[in-house]
Amino acid sequence: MRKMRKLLKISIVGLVIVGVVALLAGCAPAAPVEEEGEEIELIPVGLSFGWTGATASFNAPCGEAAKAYYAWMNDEGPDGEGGFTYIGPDGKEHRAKYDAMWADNGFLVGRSMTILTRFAEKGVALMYNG
Amino acid sequence: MCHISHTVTPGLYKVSPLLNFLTPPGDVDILSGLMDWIVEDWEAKGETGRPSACVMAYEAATSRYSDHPLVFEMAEEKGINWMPHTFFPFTASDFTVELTRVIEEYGANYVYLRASGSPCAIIMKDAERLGYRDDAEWIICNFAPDSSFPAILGAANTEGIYVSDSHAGLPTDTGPGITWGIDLIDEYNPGMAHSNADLLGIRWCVLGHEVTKRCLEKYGLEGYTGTNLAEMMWTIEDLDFGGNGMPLTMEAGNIAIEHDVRLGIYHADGKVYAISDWIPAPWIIGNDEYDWRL
Repeated sequence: MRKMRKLLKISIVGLVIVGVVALLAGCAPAAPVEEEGEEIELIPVGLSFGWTGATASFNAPCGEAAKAYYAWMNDEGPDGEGGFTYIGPDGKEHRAKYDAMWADNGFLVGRSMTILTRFAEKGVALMYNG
Repeated sequence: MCHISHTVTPGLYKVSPLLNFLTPPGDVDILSGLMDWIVEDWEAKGETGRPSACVMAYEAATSRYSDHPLVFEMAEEKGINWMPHTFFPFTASDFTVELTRVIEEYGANYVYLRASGSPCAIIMKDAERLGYRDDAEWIICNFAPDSSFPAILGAANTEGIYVSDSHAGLPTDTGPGITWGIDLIDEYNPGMAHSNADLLGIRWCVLGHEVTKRCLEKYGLEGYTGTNLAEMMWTIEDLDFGGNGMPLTMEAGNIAIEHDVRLGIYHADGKVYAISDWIPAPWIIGNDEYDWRL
């Protein structure tokens, strides 16, 4: 009986660990992609704006400008070659682009929470809320 | 997750860790600066006695936060009769009751409209219809001067309406950041009318990218987390937006990412022109150490 209980506890703990690892893995940025032989890191970022709803007259253009910024960053970027570069803690130069996801929160709390959860699952660590 | 949000919620100053960065400064902070302008304007007009002022705001939690005892306390000491807030529902399409209250009952000389451009325009239309337009100075809040305001009210009818600007730049400002931002938006959204709203989107993303890059440089892709991004936010010092609002230096514990306010006014062309310099907005809400009397 004791052995059974112990086995059950280990199974439950194991399942929880597997679940947490899966969730965290799902929350990490996607694997880098290759463009013309160069490895490009994809940085997920979330744009949650009220494109419709009570404050749309302000938040919609704000959101459109944010989309335009990330589109420009990926198409051209500061050096004109698309994306941006940074020197990582490994001392190497990395090139990255943004995986900018956007959704209409309608200035509604429930919808905003749904968007937050969905974006978190896709590895978004920076979120704009308008 | 690290957030850059268009909201002012005092409770977020108490959350640990601080992961939500807010724009604009708190309403209480903005109103304290506006009060100084009200007193100056009143005296400049040669008026005597105390001016009366009030807020008309849409019904939302964020608006309710502006209904703070400090607003009335500060106004009292600055010599302004600050009347109670008047709230209206998001879906309101007629403001006869609210306007009659603020003009007839309160005798307001200055009315601060806390709503986005569309309802503000309808309020001003009703003020015109009721004959109240010239009874007060009208100031629309930081997120009201979007393109819908002159579109609904009519460009010529916007003339003389003040704007409390605590966001990014205005399309009428000059600076490389303004020009670049407008050109960028035109490239990806041709035909979109420009206002303070889209320039704020650009300003946010310039900040967000800077914070992201610093995070990646320090921690690598594996360290791209909300906590690490927030850590990088606190390292922001003199970040220049090329005229698209003031440079930003983060202040420990102050999650506001806009720290300045200024006044603008609409001209008959339906555009807002700045009429004051940027003034530092005091950090009041969420700051236990601030004494506005000093």
